[in-house]
Amino acid sequence: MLFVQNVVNGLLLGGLYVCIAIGFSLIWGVLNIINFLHGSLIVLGSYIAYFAFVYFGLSPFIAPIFIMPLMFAFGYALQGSVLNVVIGKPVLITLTLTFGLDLILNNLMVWGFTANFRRVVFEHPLPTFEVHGIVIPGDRLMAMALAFLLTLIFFLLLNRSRIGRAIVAVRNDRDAAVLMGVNVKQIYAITFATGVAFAGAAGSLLSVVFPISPINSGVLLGKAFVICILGGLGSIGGAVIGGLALGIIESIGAMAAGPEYTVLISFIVLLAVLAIKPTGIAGKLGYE
Amino acid sequence: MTALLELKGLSRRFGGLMAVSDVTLDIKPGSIVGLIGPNGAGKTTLVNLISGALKPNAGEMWFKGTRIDGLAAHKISGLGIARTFQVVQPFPEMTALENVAAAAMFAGKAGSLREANARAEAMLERVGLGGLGATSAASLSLGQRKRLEFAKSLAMRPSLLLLDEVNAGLHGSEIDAAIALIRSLAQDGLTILIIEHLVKLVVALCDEVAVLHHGQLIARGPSADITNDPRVIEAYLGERYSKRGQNQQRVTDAAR
Amino acid sequence: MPKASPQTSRHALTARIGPVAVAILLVVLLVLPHYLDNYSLRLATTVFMYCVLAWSWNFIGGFVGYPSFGIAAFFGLGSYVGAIMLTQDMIPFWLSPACAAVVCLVVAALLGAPILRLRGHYFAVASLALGEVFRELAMNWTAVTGGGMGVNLPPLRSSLGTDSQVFYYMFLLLALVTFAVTVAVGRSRLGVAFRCIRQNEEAANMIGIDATRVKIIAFALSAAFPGAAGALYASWVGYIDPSDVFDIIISVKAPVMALLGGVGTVAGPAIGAFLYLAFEEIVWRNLLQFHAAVLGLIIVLLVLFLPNGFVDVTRRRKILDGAS
Repeated sequence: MLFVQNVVNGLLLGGLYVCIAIGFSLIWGVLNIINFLHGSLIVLGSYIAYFAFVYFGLSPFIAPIFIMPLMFAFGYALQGSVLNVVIGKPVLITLTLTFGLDLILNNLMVWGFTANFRRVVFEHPLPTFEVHGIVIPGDRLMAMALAFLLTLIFFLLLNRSRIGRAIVAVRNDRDAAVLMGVNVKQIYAITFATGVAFAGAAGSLLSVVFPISPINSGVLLGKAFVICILGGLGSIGGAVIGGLALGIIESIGAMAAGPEYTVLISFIVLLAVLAIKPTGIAGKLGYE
Repeated sequence: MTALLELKGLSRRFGGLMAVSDVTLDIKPGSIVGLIGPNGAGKTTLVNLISGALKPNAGEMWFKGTRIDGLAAHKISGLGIARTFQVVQPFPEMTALENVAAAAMFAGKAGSLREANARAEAMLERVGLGGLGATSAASLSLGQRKRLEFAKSLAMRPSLLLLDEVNAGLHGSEIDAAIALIRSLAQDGLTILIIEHLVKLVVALCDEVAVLHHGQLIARGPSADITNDPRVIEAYLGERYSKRGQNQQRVTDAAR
Repeated sequence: MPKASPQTSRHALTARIGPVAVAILLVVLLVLPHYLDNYSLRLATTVFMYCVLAWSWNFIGGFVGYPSFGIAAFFGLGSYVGAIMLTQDMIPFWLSPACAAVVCLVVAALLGAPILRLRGHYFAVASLALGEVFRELAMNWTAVTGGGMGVNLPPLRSSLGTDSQVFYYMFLLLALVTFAVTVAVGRSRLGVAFRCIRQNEEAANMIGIDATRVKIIAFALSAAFPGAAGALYASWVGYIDPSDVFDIIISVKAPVMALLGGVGTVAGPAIGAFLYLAFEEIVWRNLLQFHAAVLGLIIVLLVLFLPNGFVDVTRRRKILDGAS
């Protein structure tokens, strides 16, 4: 019984985790950049949602509608100005660059918001469901549902829209995409901006479940890493598999060994996957 | 005469495709053997297998009486098999001399840095790159880089040299020079396996020719015989041409 | 015999000046403690430690070209090995760096085989994850490591001099050893093998280099010296905890310092270490609240505008002079 509850908890969490990883996976898969800013961007999204909630009463479930365009613009500007310079450069350069940018963003957030943990506290929280003795908190269920909705929207955008197809084309074969007339530079900017937007959305949904502080950005980034390696880079299917898998691994791990071991377990899993099948469960694309 | 290299039932698969299928081949010491076949026949894969860049899925490889299938590439180089690449693979940030000296140092088992450098200079001379030792490998012309590959291979003191399309991208006089070099190397006693798609060249240079098609060895024998072998013609040009050739012969016979 | 060009004769000149300059520098460094106050002594000691980290990274990241972000993993591992062995009275103080180095060497050699099969991004992530795994282990294995409470070490109180002076010389010695190994490797067949692998790993295998073995050696070297530095660091500061010695910023500082000075060169990492500490000091003194952001800014500017570091700037000038 406890086991099933843990699996359910893991799935609820995992759904949310999918949202954490999508943007990161997209940026890594298409631009070949490991976006060290990702965790901090999620936290930023959480803060925006938090303040919108506190000052305007805007529900974090709805906030993504406003947060995403905002973060999209931010991401677009950032890519166009700074990241564009290092496209195609080796991982040493790109990782160090995004690490440096993350230091800046994180420090600014600590200065602006302080490191104190904030919580979104609903006056009228969603009810908790109980199904056959399995407890399902309404908030988490809603967050997971919205996370999946966002993932679905993203999937449709990627496969049905012209820009989405261009992104996939660039991801699969950049040079061929150029020959097909794709404006690769713009696609890079749009892709990065989209990744940032989804990070913000994830942050908004996460604010319902987790306390908010810049201190968390490292943990969130770590989760994004594990999800992408576990599930496979550059594909939505990979992010979904990885996210759900991580959620379950964390839940079972917490049950078996204790919650303080979840980070250790997830990173050991990451190393194991790298050692055995670096392209992850969904496999396919793996940039070196 | 025992063979220098023996391949027995060698096979290699990529996914569903049999790139090399059950190839059995002997190469006698001191011979020049040509390896021909249409594009995608598996020639480069076969060379990759022999040199250890790829591991076979099935079959055996024997070199000088030692079994070498499954050995790592660097070990096979050390045993005396050297190869050139179709797309040349120099060390771009090093000079020509340093490139060749590196080969001499490791697979070539040179005793000291000085010995490696000396051998490198000698090899550069041998391939006609004598004065270019200090030039960066990246700034050499394609023809020169191909010769650099030769020099590197020779510096390894191989018993068997695998040449993969050395003439790709070269023009007239460069090709002649390459042929002259290969002939002189063979005269010095080096055994050579040469992949080449210019059938004329193969016929001129090689004692024997082996033909691959869809990964299988479909013919093997002296060059003159091979070019007339209907199976070979069929492989290159398709069935029509082969049958047409046979029909022509029938008409000619009938007319007599 | 290749003709002597302007480049080679200039090179020969540097080759002659080089050792002299190093010798002079060495003498200066040996007598410096008599003229410095404690604070400056600590700064200098930190420079030596940074040199060790940068040179260590240079083995695997600079010479072989595998972008490791795992220096912190071994710095931390060495710290804990040293700290635990000392607090358990297993060894005398002066043996702790050596023991830490040996442990890190062995661990790196064992882990290296699977990790070094990865390239580029995946290798970077794996090396990063290593540090995280070690940190979490240190955090959770409370019985051995003290968990989040960390480990306290007793002060040295040696008869040879003040603690500041002793650690100055010990870190200087470690830096010199790392430097010596770097120079030796750079000139040896191993160094040639490193360079071949970096420029074309497939071709390297084809000319008889056992790339796997060579890479593991580089990785082990890049682990042993940070390990020794970590052990010294533990004794020097007297207290370590997981988030301090396994801090990911250590793993980023090492390549950044190498980048600053010139990746894959011999002098570059040391120059970079010195410059980086200078930046750090200025920032710490003046901008405490924003020091992380400013450090981040320095990193960003460095990567964008000076990806080849200072050493390359001077080399470029030499080539231009030679051509005119």
